[in-house]
Amino acid sequence: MDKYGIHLRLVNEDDADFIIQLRTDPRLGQFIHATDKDVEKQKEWIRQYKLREKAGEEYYFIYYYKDEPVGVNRIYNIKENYATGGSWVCKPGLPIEVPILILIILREIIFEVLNLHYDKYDIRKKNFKVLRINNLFDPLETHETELDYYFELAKEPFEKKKEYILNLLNVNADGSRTIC
Amino acid sequence: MQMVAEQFVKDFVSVFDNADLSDFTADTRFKEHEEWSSLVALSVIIMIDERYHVRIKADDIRNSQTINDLYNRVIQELSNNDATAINECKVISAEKPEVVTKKI
Repeated sequence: MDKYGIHLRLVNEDDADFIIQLRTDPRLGQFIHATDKDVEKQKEWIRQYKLREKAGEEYYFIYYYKDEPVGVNRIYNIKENYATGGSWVCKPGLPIEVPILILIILREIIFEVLNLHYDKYDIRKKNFKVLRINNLFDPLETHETELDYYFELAKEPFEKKKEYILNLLNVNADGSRTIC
Repeated sequence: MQMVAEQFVKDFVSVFDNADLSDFTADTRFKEHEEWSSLVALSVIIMIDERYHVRIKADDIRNSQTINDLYNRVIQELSNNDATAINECKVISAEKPEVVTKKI
């Protein structure tokens, strides 16, 4: 799949190195679940994931910009009318548009491909930058724990906010005008 | 206008998680800050839209080296619409993001 000048595909075992590199970076990985640096363990995790993917239970995406892998994210906890979009990690030094477009693509898959009604997800309370970006989408905060805020984003507000964000980034909604 | 420029620096620094305002001036080359990232850059674009009602482009960030470069870009954009707008725009306090948007 290609959109906004970004290519994505489902993760496979060959991506283990890149995923470890991203998720074990102390700056990038501080607000996500810990990942073992052992490549074989990561490959085994991916093998188990591929079974869940085949069963339609989970989808793990890797994104490319200018033919280089730049980030990953995942759709899991797929239920009748909602799923969780998460595990969003991107390489440092990317063009400004890339990380947010990767997040938008993930939600387009939840709402337009899987035809679900909600993205239900949580964000660490100390992850200020991601919370600020998250506020852009105007989600509903459903509850909180000591560590996390829990949100619910419906398709309609997402579509409205997506239009605003793409406009802010000077990117066309149909992907025809992409990032430089 | 100087006071407004100082406020702009303060607003700019507010989008960083771990930055000391005293380390920044209008001449600070912001991309050299260790916390600078594409997410911070996007936060700057959002901050400028929300507080100054100016929609700068990602290219404006790419083409700016110092906070003053960006400030001048905002002034230029405001001047295109209203020469006095920057003195009238509503500048809210530069704190951490308001997390709770709506509750069930």
